[in-house]
Amino acid sequence: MTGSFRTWWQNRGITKRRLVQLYSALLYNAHLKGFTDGEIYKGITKGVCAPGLNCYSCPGAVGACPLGALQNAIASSASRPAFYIVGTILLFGLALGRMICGWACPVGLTQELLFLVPVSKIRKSKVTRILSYLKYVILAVFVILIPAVYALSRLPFPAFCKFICPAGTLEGAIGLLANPVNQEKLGMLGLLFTRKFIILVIVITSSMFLFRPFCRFICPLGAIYGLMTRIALLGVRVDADKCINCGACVRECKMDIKHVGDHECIHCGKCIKSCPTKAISFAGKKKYNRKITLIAAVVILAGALFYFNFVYKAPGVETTETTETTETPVPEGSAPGQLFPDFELQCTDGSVFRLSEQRGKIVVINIWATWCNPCVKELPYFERLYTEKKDSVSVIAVHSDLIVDDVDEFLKDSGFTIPFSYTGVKSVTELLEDATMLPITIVLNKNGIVTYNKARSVTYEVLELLVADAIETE
Amino acid sequence: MAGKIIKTALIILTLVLAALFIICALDIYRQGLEARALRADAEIYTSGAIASHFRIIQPVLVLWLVLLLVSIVYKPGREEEKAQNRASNEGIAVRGPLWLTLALIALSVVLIVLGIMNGGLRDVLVKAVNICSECIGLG
Repeated sequence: MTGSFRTWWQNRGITKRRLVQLYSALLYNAHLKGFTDGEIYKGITKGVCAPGLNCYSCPGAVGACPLGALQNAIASSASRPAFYIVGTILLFGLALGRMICGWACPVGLTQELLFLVPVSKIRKSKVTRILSYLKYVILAVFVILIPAVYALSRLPFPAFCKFICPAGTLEGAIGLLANPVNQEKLGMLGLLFTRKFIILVIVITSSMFLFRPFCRFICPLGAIYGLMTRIALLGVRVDADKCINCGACVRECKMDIKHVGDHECIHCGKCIKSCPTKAISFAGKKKYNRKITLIAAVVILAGALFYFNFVYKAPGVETTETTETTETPVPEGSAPGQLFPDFELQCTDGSVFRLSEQRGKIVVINIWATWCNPCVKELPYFERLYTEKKDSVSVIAVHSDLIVDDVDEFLKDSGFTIPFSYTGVKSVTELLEDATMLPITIVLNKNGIVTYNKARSVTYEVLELLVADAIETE
Repeated sequence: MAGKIIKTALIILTLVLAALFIICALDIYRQGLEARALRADAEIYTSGAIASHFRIIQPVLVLWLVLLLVSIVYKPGREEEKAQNRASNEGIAVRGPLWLTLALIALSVVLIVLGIMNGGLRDVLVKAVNICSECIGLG
């Protein structure tokens, strides 16, 4: 029975490696209830990077994406050297090298599953070999150079995530938008999404005809691990004494390798069977107990699924509820039509901003952060609104209360005159149901009633319209 | 013969489907721009526009899925094509020295500890628990 089952799954390409790939994809995305709730996981394990490429805005993700974290670390390297993320990627690369690509990357798994679609396959050639160097160019330009250049002007710019990464589009954008709870976010989509969606369609389609096109030609994480693969502790090894240089391994391989174990090799181990002299094997294969490893793996996965889906409670769930008092005719809250509760904020220029003192004026609240590129880009529009309509419109820019170390430094040379605040802002951000996504713009009419509250970028023209709408609703 | 026909149809449908997805995305964007020309805060992607365009894609998608299923059933346990490549083994990949690996691992551990101390871990956590709308293509 066991034998026939084994034959059945081997016939369908369900190898040990496939099981490990499925296992790691599930472990990276153990927050399964995120898909039904339409919410991302916000717990402490998000500070730890997963070895493979897995977007941290995916509703299921329980760890950070090393590539996204690296770009953000480069973007903020002017104020804080990127020791943590560089150390983490170095450790993964030295321990496993590109074995991560072959065994523990959800994006690699997705492409391999798409490659099973029975259409004609495009074989590797000189062209694909040349194209395989493209990922090093992408690494240098989109992951290092552009974020570093923008970091000089204190503008966070994760260029690879923004312009290329199909994992972000599929897991993050579509993963979130597929849930009806997030229908509101459809309004954020525009040219950026259209471009990235087209890239995603091209990657998915080409994955059916080409073996792992994203890994071979585009993935900068694979490029980084590829640089370390020859000094990695684990991976396939060739016994030089047994090797007869027949080339069977290279012919069997679908990646653009020149020889087994080079920077293009993902250590999938397919070549082991093809070697006539048994010269290829996995390093350190016999040094572990299979039963104990299997039990430990099952316990870890079961524990993770239980914790992330049944024990973990999203922070601030209780605080998102709106408060209703019997005295006020209009219910208090942050949703349109509700009365925004009064708050008092200490501003960076020493003044105090009290909402109750702004009655009779349109109030525009901007929730932003120095590490949020769209937030920084739209600040001049709020400044223009503030200077041009000072008599009828009050503007306050409230910095997200998570990291505030560099706010003063950012504002010092910025020349902005609008009131900024970042201390004691919890009273404001706690009211917002969607505070995990920035930037947020809230507009209140002259009576303090919310007329607009959305997490999306705005232009000056949009701000003018929102103010006009607020005037109309009085 | 039937297998070849199924395979060819699947290839054509795959390409048609990909083209349809791209054309629909561009069409939604075009319609959205027209709406935005009339009002600056008009939404480009609306659930109505997505649903109406999906109705165009739906029959092709269903046909593609049916064909995929047929091709799987028609050739059960099909062996994957073996790549007949030009490549020959140009020697064995030379493995780097173990002392270098261990020294770099020690360095990476030191970097991680320094990173945790200088707030790098907190930075990663903050970015990961907040959705970077621009990074995932939302805009």
